[in-house]
Amino acid sequence: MKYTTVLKGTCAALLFSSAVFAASATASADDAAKGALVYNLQPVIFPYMAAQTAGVEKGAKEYGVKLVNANANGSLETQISQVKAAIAAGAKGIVIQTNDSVGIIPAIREAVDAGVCVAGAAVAIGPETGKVYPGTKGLAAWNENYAAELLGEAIAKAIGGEGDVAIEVGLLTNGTSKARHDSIQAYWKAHYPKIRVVAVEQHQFNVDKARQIALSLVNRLGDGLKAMYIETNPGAISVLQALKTTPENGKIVIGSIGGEKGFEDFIRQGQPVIDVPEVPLSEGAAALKMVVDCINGNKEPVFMAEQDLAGLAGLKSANYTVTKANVNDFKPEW
Amino acid sequence: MQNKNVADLVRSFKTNALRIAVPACIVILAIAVTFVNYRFMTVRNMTAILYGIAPAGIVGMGMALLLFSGRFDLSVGGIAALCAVAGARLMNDYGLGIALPAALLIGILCGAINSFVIFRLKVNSFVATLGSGYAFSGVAAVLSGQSPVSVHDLSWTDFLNFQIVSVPVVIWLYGAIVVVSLWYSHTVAGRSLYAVGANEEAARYAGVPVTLVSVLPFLIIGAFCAVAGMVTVGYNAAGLATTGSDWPMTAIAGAVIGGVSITGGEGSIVAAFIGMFLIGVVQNALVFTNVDTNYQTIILGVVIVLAVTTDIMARKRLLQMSGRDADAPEAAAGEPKSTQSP
Repeated sequence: MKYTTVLKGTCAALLFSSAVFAASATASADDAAKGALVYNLQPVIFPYMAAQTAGVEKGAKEYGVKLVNANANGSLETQISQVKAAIAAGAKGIVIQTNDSVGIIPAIREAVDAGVCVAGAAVAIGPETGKVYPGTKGLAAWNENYAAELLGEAIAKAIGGEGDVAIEVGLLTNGTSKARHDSIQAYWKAHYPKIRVVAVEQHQFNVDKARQIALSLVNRLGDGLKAMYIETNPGAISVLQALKTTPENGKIVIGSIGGEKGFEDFIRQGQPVIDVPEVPLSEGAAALKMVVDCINGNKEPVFMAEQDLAGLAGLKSANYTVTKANVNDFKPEW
Repeated sequence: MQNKNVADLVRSFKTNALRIAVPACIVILAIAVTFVNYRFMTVRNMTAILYGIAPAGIVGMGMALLLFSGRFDLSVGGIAALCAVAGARLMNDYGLGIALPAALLIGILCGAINSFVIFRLKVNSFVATLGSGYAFSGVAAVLSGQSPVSVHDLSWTDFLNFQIVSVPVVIWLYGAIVVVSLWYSHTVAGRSLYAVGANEEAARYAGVPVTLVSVLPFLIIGAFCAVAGMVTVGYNAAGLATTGSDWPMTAIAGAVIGGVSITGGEGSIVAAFIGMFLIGVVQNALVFTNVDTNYQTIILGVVIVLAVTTDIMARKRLLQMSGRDADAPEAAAGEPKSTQSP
């Protein structure tokens, strides 16, 4: 037997055995997530979170993970204790929408150090929007700066690039609210200097407050008010209903970020309403997939931007903004 | 003789001036804000304030009746949420004609459950209604599937927004609730609430059917919560499980600002209405004067404390004038326990 033949045979055998080993290893990694315990931690009971949970549940069913849903009822301390409970229970993964991007960091670090795969949904962990927090697997969310800029551009176009506008955010201590508020103001300042922000108010994510503030603003500013950016669709819906009692009904452009069905209905009715939608079901499913990938061995961090999620594919040509022109191209997920 | 007349006149002036301390705060504030923005003191803006506070204000009327008897209800948000969600669902399935009375019945039933726990099981009203509030909210969340129950037919919304003499129907409805509450507080049952609130044992010995008298306000507030919940269905074109989450505190604060004693036996429906209105006026004024949003909560808190303090001082002064010892413990605490008619 020639030496080269022996060498070829040996190499072939080695290659074959390597391939068999690699395939079996991959199979075992792919199986690692099956039956694994994953916690889905939501900040409050709210329709948006319910849709996100539905997405997580859908993914959990698909990948065979054992899912535990928990809700923090608006309390950071509760959410921190839920992260610790997940670690103690031996969870392999956590999908989290945090209610305090910065306050939750120590608990997330603890989870990461314990080898738990963590993915954020809708809200970034850490102080920066659109960034995967170091050590975590990923994030499925808007870069809030970008979302606010998209809305800012659409509102500006709708009012002809000039006029008085008002802003109603949830809470300026909330990372998402702050990022959106800062970015939309900065965008107008840079691109539409004739747009004047005449009021910034906080409705504290309370639809009653959103309505009261909006009516006060409309009475204060009269028909000089051209547009309002109202954070959260439920708040904006409440405002739109209240505006029906005023002479300004249908005259003020209302912009929001959310994608809720009831809000899109106002667009269908012909009201001057603009929405940069969110797709919580897709967010939940994407975040769960990240956790599954991580449990299966793929630790590479992933930022899945909202505009890349399946639910928003049809809006690309419209800058991911829903108006009367394209309202039928978008299917609300909540 | 002349000196005595002058003294009487001064005393009368002081007495009345002190009685209107809180309303005076509203007027002064309104005038001051009007100087900043003339649009403030207009019928349109006052209407908007009433429109904004109407749901919590309706609940506030029921809360005042309860406070007269020395009890309160922290489950009002949960009851309203449950009625809103159930009402919205029924509205979609069976129409407004079924939804409205059904929501009313649900509200009264919730009030009955609270009454049973408080008076039959002898649980303190604070604890009982805190717990039942969570339970009612939970049922609302389950019923709604944690999603807004959007109403298909907007006739209820349109009805509430329909204007009679330039005033939306919802404000007339709020006015009707105020009148009904005022009427009730003048009935025998209503007047008995003050006696129960001032001294339950004394009232019992005086022959007042304490349990019956105390149960009725829980049923009334249940019904008012249903009305308020259905108002929010009209406002939001949807039933939300998060409805009324801050109403317990708003309703209690409004009543107390108006001069209703938190320990019972004192206050009036009109005063409670004025207290709620003051909260609305302050919130509106802060937006009108473009006060930095970060400072608004601080200012609102300070105004509430000032209004209550002014009212307490007024009561102490009234007691002094009527010859009672103003330094008596209950007077010093600002919670005189005297039985008085509304």
